[in-house]
Amino acid sequence: MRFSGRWYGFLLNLPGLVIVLLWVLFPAFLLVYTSLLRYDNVRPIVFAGLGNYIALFQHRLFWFSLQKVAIFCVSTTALTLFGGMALALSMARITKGAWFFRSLLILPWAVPAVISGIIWKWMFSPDFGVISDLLMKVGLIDTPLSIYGNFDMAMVGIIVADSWTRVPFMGIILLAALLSVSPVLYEAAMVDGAGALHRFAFITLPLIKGPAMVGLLITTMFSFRTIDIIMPLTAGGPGRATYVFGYYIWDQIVKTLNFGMAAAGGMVLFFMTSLIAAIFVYLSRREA
Amino acid sequence: MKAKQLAFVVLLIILGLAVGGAAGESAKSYELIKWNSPKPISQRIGGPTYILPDGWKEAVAGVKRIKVSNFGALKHDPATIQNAKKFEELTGVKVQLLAWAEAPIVAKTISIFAAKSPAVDVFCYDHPTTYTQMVAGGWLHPLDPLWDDPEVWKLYAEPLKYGLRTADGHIYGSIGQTKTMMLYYRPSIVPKPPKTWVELRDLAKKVTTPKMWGYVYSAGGEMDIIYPLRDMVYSQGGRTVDVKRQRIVIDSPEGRNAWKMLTDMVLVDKSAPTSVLEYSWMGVSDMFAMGKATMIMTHTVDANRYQDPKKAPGIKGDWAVTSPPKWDDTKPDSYHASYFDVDGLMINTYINDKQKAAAMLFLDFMRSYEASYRELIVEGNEAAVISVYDHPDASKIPVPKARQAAMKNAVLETFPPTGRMLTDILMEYFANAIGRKMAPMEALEKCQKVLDDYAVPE
Repeated sequence: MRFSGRWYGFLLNLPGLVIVLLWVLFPAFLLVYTSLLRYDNVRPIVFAGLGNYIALFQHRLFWFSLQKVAIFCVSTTALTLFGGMALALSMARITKGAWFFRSLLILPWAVPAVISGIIWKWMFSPDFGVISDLLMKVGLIDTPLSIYGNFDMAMVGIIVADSWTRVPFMGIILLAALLSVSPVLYEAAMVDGAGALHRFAFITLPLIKGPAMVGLLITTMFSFRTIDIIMPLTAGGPGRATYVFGYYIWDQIVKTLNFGMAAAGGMVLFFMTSLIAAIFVYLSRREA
Repeated sequence: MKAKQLAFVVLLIILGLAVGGAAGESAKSYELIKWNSPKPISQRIGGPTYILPDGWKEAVAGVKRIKVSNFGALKHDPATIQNAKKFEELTGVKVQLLAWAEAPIVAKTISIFAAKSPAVDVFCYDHPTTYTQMVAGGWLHPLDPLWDDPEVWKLYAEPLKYGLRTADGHIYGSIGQTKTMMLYYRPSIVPKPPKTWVELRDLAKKVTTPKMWGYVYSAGGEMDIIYPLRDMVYSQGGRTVDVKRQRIVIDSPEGRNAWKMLTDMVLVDKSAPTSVLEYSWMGVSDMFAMGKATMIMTHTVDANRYQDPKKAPGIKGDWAVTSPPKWDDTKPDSYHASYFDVDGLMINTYINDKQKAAAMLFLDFMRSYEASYRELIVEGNEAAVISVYDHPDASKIPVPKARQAAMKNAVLETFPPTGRMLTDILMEYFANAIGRKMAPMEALEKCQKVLDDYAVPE
């Protein structure tokens, strides 16, 4: 028996199709289906239609947590971009021992987010943290600094901690993009009298825009749904000061055990990250 | 030919249904155990040596292992390890203890239940805040036969009888470890410990220095604000759960007093730090061990840590423990009370009947005098079986009589479903008060309103 080209291609794609079905489509279907159920692990499971979505949009913490995640996401992405750019520009100039510095660059990215959160929490502890102690010793502060217990500073603290883990990823992407820019362009620009800032604005930025957009997209999407670093740092506190949307969904599952509401929250998260991705893709294509 | 094949298949189906039906009607494995034989339960488990119930061998035949989740690393639970080994010696069933970090333990448990998975046989759980939710989810195997002896309740502190029974009249949990909290203090700074919270507050103000707080409590970790609130409410004879309406109540007179005192300590007296918003109960213990707190309320098991200068370098043996304060001198001595903490054990309903039998046997052993003895003497937890404190070996542990009294006075309340979310709401509004986003009593009133909104519909 001889397979035709079409059937042979289908058979070769079958394992991938099975994986997509089992790990992507089926869970997605379950998510949609669960979001339409009253599934609160207290009362019997019944079809609720859009009831979960209505309850979600009316929940006191829904819009609040979206506001928090917007602040967190924009700030983390911006700090990651600037940090990654600074690192990439510095690394691009290193020739001797470049492999060593690039390996160091990767380290924060290699640390699990939860461990990273614990380390930052210890460093910023007002009672035994090195940062508070150093600042007091140099006379910049009189009393111990409580970042993660302070309403106004806690968000700054988690942005810094999360950005620290993401900067290496952005740095690697931007470094690769920088290294792909032909040095001839810079030489020509220098001959024409262009300064460093001009060369950066009119040569570097336009040519690395594509990879930068990819890095930005991934960073934005991941930070939009982050809770793993926030958990050990603040657990969404103090007083919900760092209560991002991902945490809200987590609480629906683990604390309220309302799987229907959590699934509805998951669908909202899915649509919002898809929207973010769509915006980036549109902007990228428009540029192209 | 086809007709014969069809007839054969039909016959097979009928036979299969008959066998299956017969199997369904026969006794389940765990029903083979005669819990009140050879002696009533109270005598079987209440003596120094645990006695296995009749019928256990047939019930667990073929079971090689049960998996039991554990709060945190096993190196901190030597009694649990010894109890597991003893159970294996008695029954031949190996107990595989799964050391799960505390933070994700509920998430892991729920994941397994939601998947209807038999991956784990026995789960540990925090009784006060999680029990009713787990029961409501329909995930637990009932344990009524284990408690089918009216005398068995006399082995334990009074609250346990009412704490384990749920609204449907059944029991789904049993005892893993029990703890309560006591007042730890620095005798070099506080030679005579306070007997009341009012006295403690005044003392904390006097002894606070730039390097050491007068009193430190937890308001930062998940559930942790409930510890100091409950202690103060119970010390006035109050309660935090309206059992009839299944509501958390914090704006009672006792709740208001507790809320005010805790916020005043930070905002007015400055005898407690604003960084209470960062502390879990473990963080409070750390503060005392580092010598940064004069007085704290923490679990009795922490006495083991403070005895070791390497684990408590900031105090170097300068510590003592006494019973929890009552509110003031007008209150009776029985109000020297903290909360009765049960780290319970529950059985997964999705495991097979033989595994259930083995799991029930394990729970039977873990709530016995013998197991409680190890918890008290080896590990420094409290003994669920109160008479263990009268054993001569109990004199080896710090303040055994005070701990026995604390366990007798301790209060066990079981939160309604969504208990963990409700404690989050308490944490949220308490933080708003400490962070000066709201006036303290305004925060309390708003907190109560949100708690009422969140409660499960009647």
